[in-house]
Amino acid sequence: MILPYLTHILILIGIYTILIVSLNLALGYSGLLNLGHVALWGIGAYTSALLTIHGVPFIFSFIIAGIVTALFGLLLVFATRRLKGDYFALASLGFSFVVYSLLLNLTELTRGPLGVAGIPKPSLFGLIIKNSNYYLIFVAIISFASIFLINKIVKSGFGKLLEAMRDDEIGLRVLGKDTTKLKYKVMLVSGFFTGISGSLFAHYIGFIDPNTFYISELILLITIVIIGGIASIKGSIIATFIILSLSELIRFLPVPSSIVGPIRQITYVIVLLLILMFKPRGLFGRVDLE
Amino acid sequence: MKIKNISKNFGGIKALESCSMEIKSKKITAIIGPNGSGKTTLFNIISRLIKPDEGEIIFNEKNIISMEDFEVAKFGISRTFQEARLFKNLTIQDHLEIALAENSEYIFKSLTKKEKNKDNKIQEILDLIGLDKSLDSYASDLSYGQRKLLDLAVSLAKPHSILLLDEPVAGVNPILRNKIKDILKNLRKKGETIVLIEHDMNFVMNLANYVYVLDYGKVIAQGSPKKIRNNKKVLEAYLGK
Amino acid sequence: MSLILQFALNGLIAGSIYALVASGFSLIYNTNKFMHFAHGISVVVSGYILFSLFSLINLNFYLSLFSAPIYASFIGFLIFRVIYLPLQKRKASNIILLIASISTLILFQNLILLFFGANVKDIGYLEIKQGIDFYGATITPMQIIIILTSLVFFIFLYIFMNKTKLGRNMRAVSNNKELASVIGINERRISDLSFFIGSFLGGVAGVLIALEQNITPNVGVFLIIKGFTGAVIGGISSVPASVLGSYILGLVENFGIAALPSGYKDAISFILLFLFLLLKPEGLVSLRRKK
Repeated sequence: MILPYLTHILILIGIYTILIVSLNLALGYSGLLNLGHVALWGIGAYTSALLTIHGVPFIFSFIIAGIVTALFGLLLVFATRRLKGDYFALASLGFSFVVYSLLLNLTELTRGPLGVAGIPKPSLFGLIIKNSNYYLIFVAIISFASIFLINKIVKSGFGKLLEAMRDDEIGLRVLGKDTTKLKYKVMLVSGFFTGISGSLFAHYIGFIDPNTFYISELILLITIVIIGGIASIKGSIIATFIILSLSELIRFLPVPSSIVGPIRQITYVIVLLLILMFKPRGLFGRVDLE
Repeated sequence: MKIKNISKNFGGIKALESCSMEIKSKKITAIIGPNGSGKTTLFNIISRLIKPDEGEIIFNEKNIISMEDFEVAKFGISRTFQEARLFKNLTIQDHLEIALAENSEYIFKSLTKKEKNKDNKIQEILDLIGLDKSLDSYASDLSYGQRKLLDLAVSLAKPHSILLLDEPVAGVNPILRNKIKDILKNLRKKGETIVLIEHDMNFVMNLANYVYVLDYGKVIAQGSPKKIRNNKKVLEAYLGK
Repeated sequence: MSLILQFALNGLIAGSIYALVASGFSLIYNTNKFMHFAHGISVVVSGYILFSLFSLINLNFYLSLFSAPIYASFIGFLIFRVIYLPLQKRKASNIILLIASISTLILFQNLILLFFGANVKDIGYLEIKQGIDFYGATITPMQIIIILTSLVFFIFLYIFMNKTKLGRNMRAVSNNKELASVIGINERRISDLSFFIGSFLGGVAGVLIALEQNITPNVGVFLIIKGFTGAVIGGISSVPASVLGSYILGLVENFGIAALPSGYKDAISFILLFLFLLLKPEGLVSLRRKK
């Protein structure tokens, strides 16, 4: 009785760790205050869902979702390349709003507020991953691979450049490094992994709608990444475990199910505010959020 | 480097007016002048952090005015800032590795090619500068003087053919001041071309080969330190008319 | 012709509400130099207080109407003292304040959701919802009240900011905080005041929208986004510009859905917001300030 439920939580944790670690790559390591991350996730999810529904094999939808999201990430930093810190954050927040309203309104493409239902379970080489246990293995593999890759990137010389860019962009430019190109590269990587996370999410849950990728979800992402700590992959993973487990535990409270949503949100927000107030570096963060 | 007729206006204030200078290689050229005379603005224009309104700068046979800041840095211009620009969450080792690294901007190369071991070069530079702190100390842990030294070390480590030093001894204690003076003399001996901005005429006196004096954005005098010291216009500029 | 007039009127009505929100937001931004997104709280809380006092407890209508924005202004002040000020004391960066602000907004939205439920609440005040004919366009008395009320408040705000000592002190703090404190202006008091006044204006918007339409928990988020957009369009660093930008937003939205399906109304404002942040973040009315 407990095992299927545990599997469910672990699958979600797997999906979200890819998402959070890619957010930390952009935000924590590179200093890109990307509040549009939730929109990118939505783009990945919708791309993969819509492609598969129209007959594209999962493996292609999955990869294309990553690529499309990467391109949108690139588009976002390209459009905002002249904006500094705060304004980039606001513009990326604006980007989230725009994507949300487009998902809502381009109904012929996205089915609007009705959302996309009946997203097929992934099928790889003829095998349909219907069973949750197999899905868990699948997600775990992708998750490990993604985190491994991102970790390699941040520990490399390239990663050091990103951190230098975060700490003092001009200081890095006068050392001869093109920081604009660095930002493009980071957002391509971050976007790609966000996209595949979105694909995994869509194909697991089976149903997505524009509200899944709006402000409440953004708050959850920000909460997790800050609690884990800026520029700490370990922190992001652990925080995802903690917050998602907490979130699922709330479901067991003896309250009507319509209340569960607001209680979750209130919990996240209060935790976030407390962390910002008393431990803004989070659990394992080495860097201040600036 | 040849600086030709550089002018810059900031909303009605003439920061620089038809500034022209010739920087001779393997020598130390000093740019002095009272506060607000445009010295740092000139550096910012040379390192392309700002665009001039007119003029050109010929460096290594190219007019660098149309280049971007990072391009001009790659092209051979290394600079320090009055307030040392360091990466506060990175270590001394990280700073020097970044300055020395050639391919780290490419993700694929960064992941696959093993970067040549730079430890020798790093040690060489630290010995030259005399920074007495372990390689894995964070920039945020350094004292003011140590930050200045690290800034200098980083600009040296970065491949360059000219060094622009913006007030390398500002706010630094007298012992460190002399140490830095010796480092600069040493660098000149090794063939470095150095341009430095300084306030303090004394520091410049037995260090610079040639001096330019700026006041209100204009070059009001130039020549050997001895000549400058006795120049009436220069004294007036500093003491006020 | 009457269609154009109708769009224009609708634009003015929406613009008035947005402008009330934007003026409060801009006032708080200029005085404190950070983005108080939680300003949406003053709108939604005010509406629900009106509902609670009038529709639930059956308190006198006018008493409820006038006290709701006052409560809202207190809540705005509390948010400043309980959330922003402690963070500022800990030298929190603007981005932390921004995140805290959005979080607080979501907190209140969900608290209201919890206590009142998600369904739409109607105030149920017998306003004559019938439209009056105006040169071929229709406008209801409530809508006229909205336009007039906001104009009245803007006039008051203008007089306050320019003709009273307190208002001038507030503008001094906006212009140059250090200088203002050097000449003896109490920064803390001015900040408190900005939250009171700003949130009061938001509260007025809240009761107006509650009376004109209805009140739901998301009204705060919805209107702060619109108000923020209006402020960005006009110029966030000037309260009058923010007001102007909001009216422009209202008009563009309403003329825009002449060409597009009505669901696109919000998409229009989001896209405008994004474009302005990208291309002209200082807004249309960019003041040349000599620092």
